Amino acid sequence: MTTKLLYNSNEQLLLSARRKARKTAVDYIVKYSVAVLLLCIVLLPVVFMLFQSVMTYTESSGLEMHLFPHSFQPSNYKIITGYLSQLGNTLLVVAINAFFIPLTACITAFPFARAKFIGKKIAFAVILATVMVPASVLQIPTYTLYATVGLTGKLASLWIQAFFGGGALNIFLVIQFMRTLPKELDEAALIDGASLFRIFAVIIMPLVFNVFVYICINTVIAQWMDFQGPLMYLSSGSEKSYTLALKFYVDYTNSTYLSDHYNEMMAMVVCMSLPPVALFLVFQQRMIGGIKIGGLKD
Amino acid sequence: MSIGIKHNSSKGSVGVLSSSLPCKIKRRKYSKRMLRTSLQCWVFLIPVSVGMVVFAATPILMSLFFSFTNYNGAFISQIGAFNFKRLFDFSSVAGERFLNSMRVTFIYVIANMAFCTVLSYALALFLHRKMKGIGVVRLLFYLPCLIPGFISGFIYMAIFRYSASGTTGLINTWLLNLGLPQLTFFSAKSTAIPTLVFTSVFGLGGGMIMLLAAFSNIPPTLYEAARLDGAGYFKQLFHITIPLSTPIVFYNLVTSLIAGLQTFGTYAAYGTGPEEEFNFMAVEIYRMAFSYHNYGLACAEAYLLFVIVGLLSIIMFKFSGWVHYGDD
Repeated sequence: MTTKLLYNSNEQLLLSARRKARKTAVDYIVKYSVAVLLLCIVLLPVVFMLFQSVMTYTESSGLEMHLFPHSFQPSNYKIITGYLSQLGNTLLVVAINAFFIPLTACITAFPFARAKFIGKKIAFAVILATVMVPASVLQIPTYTLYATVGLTGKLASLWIQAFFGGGALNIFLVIQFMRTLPKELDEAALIDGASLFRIFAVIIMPLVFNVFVYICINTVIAQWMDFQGPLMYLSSGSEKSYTLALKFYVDYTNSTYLSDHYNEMMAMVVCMSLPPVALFLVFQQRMIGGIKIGGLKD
Repeated sequence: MSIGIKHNSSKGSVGVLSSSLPCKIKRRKYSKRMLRTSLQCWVFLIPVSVGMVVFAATPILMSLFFSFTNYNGAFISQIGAFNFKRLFDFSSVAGERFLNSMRVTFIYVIANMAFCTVLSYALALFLHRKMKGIGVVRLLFYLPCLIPGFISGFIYMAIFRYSASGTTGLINTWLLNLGLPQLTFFSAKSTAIPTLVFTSVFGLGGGMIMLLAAFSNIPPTLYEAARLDGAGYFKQLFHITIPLSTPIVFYNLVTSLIAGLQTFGTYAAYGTGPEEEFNFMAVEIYRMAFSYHNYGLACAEAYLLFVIVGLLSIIMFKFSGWVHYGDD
């Protein structure tokens, strides 16, 4: 490219600034359009779900499926009234899990993060090893155990494991988080004669609030949509004790009403998706921060 | 004055003098304080210990035991290695089904890992910029992830449905309106798994968010230095961004491997798919146990899955030399 000294330096500056502004404007337009295009693809299921949930029966199950609804029938959402007792069950299971899993994870993580004790390495290795074990190996004997104790078909089978340690991944997350808290707090308390339990309850617990909330929200989202657990442990009980996920699946497979009435099915699906979305919207700042904290930089 | 005493952080003090005396003086292995602290710490560990024993150790051992029997939920009548023999005898029905489930699981996991890693990385790169409203865009990309897993299966069934006569799904309706022939998506053996892998594009948001967090951990001074040295976009990408985000990429790979090998949620919406194409290993184990009531065989299959997961994880860790742990 030959340089032409046709313009003086001021005009050259102005020209290059304009060129840059034009370039970034085009840049912006291109990037936004690509983003919108990608969003159209990725959001297709969500949009489809929302639109189908307000269509009438004739429209949603006609010979053709179309995306944009010609009719508006929000009464499809009445289907949720048939699931109220299951909703209550799900809420109970989720609430118990969401509180006790982070709590026990914090209780378990505290000695690893803050103290030296005999057998620390072995205990840590054992907890690490449980990550590797696939759920399938544990499920059948756990089912047998529950059957012997009489827990199959009862909701307790879904929340009883919450009291016992909260999962290795959660424990590691809390350990990482606790490591970032200054040790001087512990030492000051120790000098003042506090026992380990006191340090935990009074000093550490209030400070791990962020990661507690993060694990809480993750647990709620995971438990809300848990399908394999209820399928295995609750199927033998009465319908009244099902969770939402299980009842929905049972209705779908047992009768053709749902698979025929796509609009009502989608209305139910929307209802089931709302809590995780709402939780995420409210807590997203903390959650993304939680990923950073529990991330791989020590 | 503590001249003659060596201090050892975990084991308490050992007297120099005592080790050079002719007679043996008894000294404790751990100090009193260490013992007291340990006791208190183990009180904290009571819940997880009980949980480990009851919900992890016992089931693992029970599963191992069951895999050598023909437990059917009520009683055991045979003990031996016949379950494993049946599984590796690929001409038997059980062996053939097991081989098929291994095949589909592996194909799905490998395709899924490759597809998701590359695409979520590209997506995260694309969205890692300061534009107005980029936060909203990122949120919208994460939205489909929040639809419960097995439920999204129902939605995809509706979108990708193929039927020669009767209601066709959304995409096939569009294709028909354009005069193109229908695509078989989930209804044919050859297109079932590719379609399933494609539907994971709707779930890219999760990995994308973690990658975005990793990208923002990279200090911008590196990019400035590179730009001063005249590095263009791709050079910066290959020499700064990719190496420094390898820990998260590795974490994503390992977790998607372990999760993918245990895929089960597809069973709700798709069942076992066309010609058992969605009969993944976890689905097969579940059916063997709760439909055919052959708990022994199911436990044997579960143990083989355990071995596979363990081996692959170890292999992944052994070959993780490419992971760059930054300034550790």
